[in-house]
Amino acid sequence: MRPLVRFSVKHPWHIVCTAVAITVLACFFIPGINLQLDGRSLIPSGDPALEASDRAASLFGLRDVVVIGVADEKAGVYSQETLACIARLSRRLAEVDGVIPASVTSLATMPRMFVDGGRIDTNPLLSADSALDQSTVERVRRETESLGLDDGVLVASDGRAAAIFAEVEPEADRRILLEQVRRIVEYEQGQGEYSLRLSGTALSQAVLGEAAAKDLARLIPAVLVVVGAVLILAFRHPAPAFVSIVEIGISLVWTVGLMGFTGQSVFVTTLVMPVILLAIGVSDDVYALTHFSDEAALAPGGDRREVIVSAFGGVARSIGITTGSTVVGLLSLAITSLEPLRVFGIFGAVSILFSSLFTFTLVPALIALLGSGMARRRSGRAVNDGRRMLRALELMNAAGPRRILLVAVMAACSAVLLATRLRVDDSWVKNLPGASDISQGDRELNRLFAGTITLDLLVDSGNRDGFLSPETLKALGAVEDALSLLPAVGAVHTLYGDVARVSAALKGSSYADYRKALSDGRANMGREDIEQALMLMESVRRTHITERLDSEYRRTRMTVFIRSADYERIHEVLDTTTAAGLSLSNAGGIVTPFGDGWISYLTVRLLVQGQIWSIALALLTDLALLSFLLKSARSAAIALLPVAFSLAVVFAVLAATETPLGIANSMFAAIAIGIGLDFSIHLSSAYREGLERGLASIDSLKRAFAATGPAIVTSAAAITAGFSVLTLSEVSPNMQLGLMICLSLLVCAAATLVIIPSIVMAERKV
Amino acid sequence: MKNRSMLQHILLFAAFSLALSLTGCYSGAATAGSKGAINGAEPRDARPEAVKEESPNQSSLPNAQRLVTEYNNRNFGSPGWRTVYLELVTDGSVTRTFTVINLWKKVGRETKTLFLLREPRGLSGTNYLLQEDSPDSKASDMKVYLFLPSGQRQVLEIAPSNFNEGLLGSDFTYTDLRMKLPVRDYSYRVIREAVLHNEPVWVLEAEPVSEAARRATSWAVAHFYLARNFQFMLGADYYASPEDVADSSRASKRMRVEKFEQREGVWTATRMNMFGPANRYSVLSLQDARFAVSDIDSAMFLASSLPSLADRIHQGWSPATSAKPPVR
Repeated sequence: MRPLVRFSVKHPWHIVCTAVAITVLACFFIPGINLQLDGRSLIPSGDPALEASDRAASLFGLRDVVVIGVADEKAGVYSQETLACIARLSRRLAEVDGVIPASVTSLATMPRMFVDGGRIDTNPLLSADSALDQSTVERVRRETESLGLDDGVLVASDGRAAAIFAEVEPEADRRILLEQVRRIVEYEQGQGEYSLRLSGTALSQAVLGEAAAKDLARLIPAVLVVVGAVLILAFRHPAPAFVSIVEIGISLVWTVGLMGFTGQSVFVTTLVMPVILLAIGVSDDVYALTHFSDEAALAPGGDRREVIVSAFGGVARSIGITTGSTVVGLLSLAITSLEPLRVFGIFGAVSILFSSLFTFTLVPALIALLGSGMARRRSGRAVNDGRRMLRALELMNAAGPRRILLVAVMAACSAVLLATRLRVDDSWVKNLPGASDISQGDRELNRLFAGTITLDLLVDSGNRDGFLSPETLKALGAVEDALSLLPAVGAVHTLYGDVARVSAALKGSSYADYRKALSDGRANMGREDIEQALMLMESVRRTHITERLDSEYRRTRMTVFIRSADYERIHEVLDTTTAAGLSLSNAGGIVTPFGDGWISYLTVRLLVQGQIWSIALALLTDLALLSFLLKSARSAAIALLPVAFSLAVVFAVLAATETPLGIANSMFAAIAIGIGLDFSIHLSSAYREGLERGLASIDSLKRAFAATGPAIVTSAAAITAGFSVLTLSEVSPNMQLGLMICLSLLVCAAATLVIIPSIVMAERKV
Repeated sequence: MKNRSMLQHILLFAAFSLALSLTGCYSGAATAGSKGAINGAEPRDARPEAVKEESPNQSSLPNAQRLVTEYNNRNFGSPGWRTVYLELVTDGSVTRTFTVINLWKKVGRETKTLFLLREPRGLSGTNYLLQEDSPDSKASDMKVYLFLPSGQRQVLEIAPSNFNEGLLGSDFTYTDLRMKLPVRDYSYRVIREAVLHNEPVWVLEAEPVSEAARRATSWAVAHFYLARNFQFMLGADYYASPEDVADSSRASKRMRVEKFEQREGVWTATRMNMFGPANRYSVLSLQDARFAVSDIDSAMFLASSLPSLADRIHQGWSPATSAKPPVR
């Protein structure tokens, strides 16, 4: 590194101009980045776990939805005012950009098969030609109840709320959609006694994107200010702060430009990546600048260029190791199947490499250009800081290093035990800002209706016309019945229910009575009944039968509405489906889950697998790297202890506070390993260096502790302060991520300064 | 030697021509205009044929009302019957097939048409009765009755506002199966001359003018392509909104008679396609037909006869064997 540093201080303008030129070029590529807002994009399209479900989603035309809930908790929805509102909203929703007009489903659009007075009518309950008088209202109530449409999906089971659903074109701009839907809802709000609520995946994505963009706009300046302030305080001079912020800013622009050039995607969950990388990038600079200012203080009249070369050359090894460990930590995320973590891992590592390159080129060049004022200001502090660290070491020695280690081991064991209760979960809706209308609306709709998250199941009968078979259809009905009994399941929509609904109407019976008769064996649906019902449903254009049954009558879609869906609840539904669908499976039927619920479930499963593998891989790779660089596997293992301890503590805190580990906050482990390890690397390297120079173990420790302790504290403080701005985030996983990183770094820094010296001191006393 | 070389050339040319015609690169004189000699593409690859516009000559355009009256008064071989095969095609694959017996008869001012479903077996006996120019219908000049053999075995009247639903889930609606163009509540004008299937046609624009008619049709404007030289409809384009008319590719539905012929003095389609949304269409193919059959009983064309007709169909009755089924 020395020749590189020497060249940089000799030709500082060359370095600065080259960096600026490449930065300007990188800016042109930034627009090439795709912002991915949908849950499906979290998992790569080629992932085998999702291939079958992708096919199922494509077969049944699964799309993101908008949901508007109309509730009148006192009078119910069966009033002229509320029904008129539903009709108006349905009409206006169909005109919103991006909404597929024919997909709007509500009491005002949903066709029903109603037989009355020898006439069959498939018009919606609230058809355009019906005057909305009291008799129509009563008819709507009667028919809704008779057809069983008050199952908590279209109409709440207590009749207090009704929903309007609409599908959204995949390429529709979610922000425009949200804006227009909010506008039509605002217009209707206050026109009557009813209240309106919004939810649905399409709107959730828009709100999440909106919140993440706002976060980015607020947090980037905030992190720069905080990191800058901490560095100014630490160095008592603005130059190191300026140099460090310019360096990490440029490395970030290069990284983002490279992402744009390679057409990468940015996900809502990782949109705060720049904030994270700004905070991480400062770490190396702190060590290098501390070393430089200390050396400059010791040689006040020396050649500034030589001091720079000597200082930066002196930390090259330890910074090289810390860069390696941070890159390893971040790259460990690349083995996960989740796209946001993979992209964050790869490009986070690239950013750190750029940052390290600049630490030995741009930073020395800028120091050479800015002058040596910072060195003069810091000179007195270095000695004081070193003395304070030595006092702390003496206190530890007095307290008894073995006792300290025993307490640490007990704390670690307790943390590991507590961490086993950690819950893993992720949900788009739960990630929304708590104060957003969509988040609040979703909570309300989950209370009023059958649930806003659905798990779709493709049931393949194995044969063409398979679902014309009464036995196969009955087996499907058995699965529906079993799922309906689960407490978390609000409603189940199946082909069996659809066919029964049409048959009931043709037989002049209510849906509920007919279903009961079917269950009791008093009624039976034969092949002719099934064919007839399907023919009638296919005749009515708006029944969306193609979203329920494929054209070969071989595969059908079952939709399970789950209240406040989480991993455990979805798991329960899947288990029940497997058990209840045994007769289908025995007949060659195959059940393939798909849809939002399945993506959430799969994401959590992949997240758990990814976390286990990435943490194990990062620790093992770091162990190998450190063993090679410290020339001792034992020293490497000791260096890893603080970071492992901090991970256990954070997992334990998450478990104790019942905070689930999700995609966004799970990134903390890689960051904690990457940065937290820096502390012990610097201390271990300095200690090793002392031993190599022939110092006694305790003297080497004292020297290393005095030299690196202050830098560890400064670095931990600066990075923690940088990450603390994430707590201002509107997106709760980002806020949690900030808290988790801060906690892990503080614990790791403290553990480094306590555990490693205690081990060395305890060994000396053996 | 010379003759042998010539023979080789002839054989080569013949083989080349055959190959070209098989690959569709060379179709010779096979046009729709040759009346029944159309070698159209297989249904699975079908696309609606474009209408070739003729230079407008407003002065020579006929009176729309006269054209509609002439068309409605054409000889459609009443009373008659035919057996048709209906295929539903989605994404290039035939997904459903039906065999339908279709009988029609003019009774006074009224035209009554029966659709008796023979296949698939599970739906056999599902019958429709369509009455045009029904004097007892106030809301519309059409009435449709449906008989469902399963369950209650009841004859149900289909609400007029459901006339734009797809018959048997096909792209043909109940109104598409009328023998005549509707007159009540519709306005017509001849907008231009054109060519379809190499036949000169009048482009007749129709618009529903009453609220009831608008509700009973899925279209706001329709263009009917009536052959100029004989009374026959060769195609139709339906537009959901008047704004779409400017661009024929925005038609919500398109009908094209792909093959047609004159039998017993009656022009009849032998293959007709109805193109719905982008990935689906329906094909009606004529299997058998008889026109001006004298012994078709008027009693068959009553809603109350639909259940007994269903039983006869179940028992294998076909008008080819006996045009007059015993009616209970």
